[in-house]
Amino acid sequence: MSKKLVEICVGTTCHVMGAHALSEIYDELSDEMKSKFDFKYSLCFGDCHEKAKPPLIKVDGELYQAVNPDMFRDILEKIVKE
Amino acid sequence: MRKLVLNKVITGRRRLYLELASMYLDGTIKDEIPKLPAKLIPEEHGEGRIRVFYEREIMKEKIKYALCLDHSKVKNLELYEIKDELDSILDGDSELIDREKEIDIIDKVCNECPGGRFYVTDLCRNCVARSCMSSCPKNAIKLVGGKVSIDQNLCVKCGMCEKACPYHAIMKLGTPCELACGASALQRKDEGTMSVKQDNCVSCGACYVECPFGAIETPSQMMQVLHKIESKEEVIAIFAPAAVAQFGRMVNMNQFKEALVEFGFASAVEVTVGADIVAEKEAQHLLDHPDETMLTSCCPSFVSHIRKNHEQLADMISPVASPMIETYLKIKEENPNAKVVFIGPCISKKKEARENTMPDYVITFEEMASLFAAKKIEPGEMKGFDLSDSTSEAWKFASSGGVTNAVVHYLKELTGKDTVQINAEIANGLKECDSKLKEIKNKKICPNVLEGMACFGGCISGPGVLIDPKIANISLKKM
Repeated sequence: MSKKLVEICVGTTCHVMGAHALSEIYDELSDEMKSKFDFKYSLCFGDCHEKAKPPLIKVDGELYQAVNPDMFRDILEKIVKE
Repeated sequence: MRKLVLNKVITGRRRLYLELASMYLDGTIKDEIPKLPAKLIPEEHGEGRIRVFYEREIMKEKIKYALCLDHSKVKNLELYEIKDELDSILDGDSELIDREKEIDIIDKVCNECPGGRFYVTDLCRNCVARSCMSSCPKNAIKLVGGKVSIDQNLCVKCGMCEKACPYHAIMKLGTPCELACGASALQRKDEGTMSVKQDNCVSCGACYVECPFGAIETPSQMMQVLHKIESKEEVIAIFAPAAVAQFGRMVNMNQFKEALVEFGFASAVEVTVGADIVAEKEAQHLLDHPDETMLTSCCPSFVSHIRKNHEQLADMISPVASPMIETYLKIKEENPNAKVVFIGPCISKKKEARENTMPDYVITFEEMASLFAAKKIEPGEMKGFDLSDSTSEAWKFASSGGVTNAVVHYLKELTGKDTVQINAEIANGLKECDSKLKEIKNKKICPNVLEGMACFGGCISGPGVLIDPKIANISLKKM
């Protein structure tokens, strides 16, 4: 399986709405989990100012909105299972 | 150090700040403000109609605090009734603006937590021994429907049953605000809701952080600051050293400084400038008064706690002003006409500013970040401004032990010695401040310096922070 690119938006609005809690989840992941993804902190995607609800993440370009720490972990686990 | 859990009280408040500021910038605030509760708590909230209704009512009261209103004057007003007063509220002239308190309990939001009572929980296995019944000195534990239950009218809250139960099935339910308070400033009213004893309260914000219903609020000056800036007035920002890492891992202090100017401040200055002045003056004070005890003056809650609850020790408070005030005075020398806003992690600084009538405004990092978001300011994309010259010790004022460390640095510099011996005590958190002050009173300890910080861990654990204090501390060490 090729590595998927996970981008956590750390732009202002996502930061205010809790993006840092997502980066804490990342820090807690096992090395095995970490090895399955390429993680990247990204500056503002520009989507929060339109309709999407921050915090936002992208997995291989696909946008997820209003992501909380539990959701973030679920998203990653689901991808690994697939 | 407290763990910052991003709960729904916090995210709800941040969304409110963000929406309110955005509405102001769009010029729609007057028309939209009555609709704001419904916008923030939509129908498809997922928790049922009554819950939606309830949370909207809470939001309505919170909007009043976000506008810096005195709740005792506006609690019976609907939002559309405030609409016409909005211009003078934003100008800061309105009669309705709060000028008295920094911590307030919203009576109708307070859930009347049944504090201090003991309850038998579901963990009870209905055992044969029933040690709980045997241990109770008041025979308050009775059998109800074959299970043990505590008669609250007879219970004297001694806790013997809790200790006797091998399953830990009996628990004391605390009142979070009361447990968090280190100044015994919360009392229960006859109606059952809590209230703040302003004579004891030191505005540290510990109760504001703890309340799970978000019933404790602080009036915010963010909208008045935004209005001043949008009216093109000269406003200068001074920011606390605790700002390190608050704006995320992609934002350094240079970028934050540029972002403040991009936002509309005439300039931005680090309060570390004042911290260096304070540390040097305090070091000099220690050299001049080697046999006295000096209580640090940078944490306004600590100072307030001494004045309100340990008055006999008030003479020991450092004669040096706080870094915020020193920085303000320095700025005012060069810019006599500018308004100055302090940006920090602290609610108590609002009180300090009010009592000293300087600086002009105090807002928290949470409020500043919400304003950035509303104005679409992205500090992470900026090149960054140069920082003022200040020592690495001055940045560390933001964590417990940092002030002492900086004073020692200046003692070395002033005396020209490589090592200096001082007897310093560090009180971390208001409860520890209280016990150390008592020890000084009883002559159990006699330090040269007692550094007191009301927030456990120092300013990086303040009520208005954005980042978990542990992470902030790691970044602070690198400064």
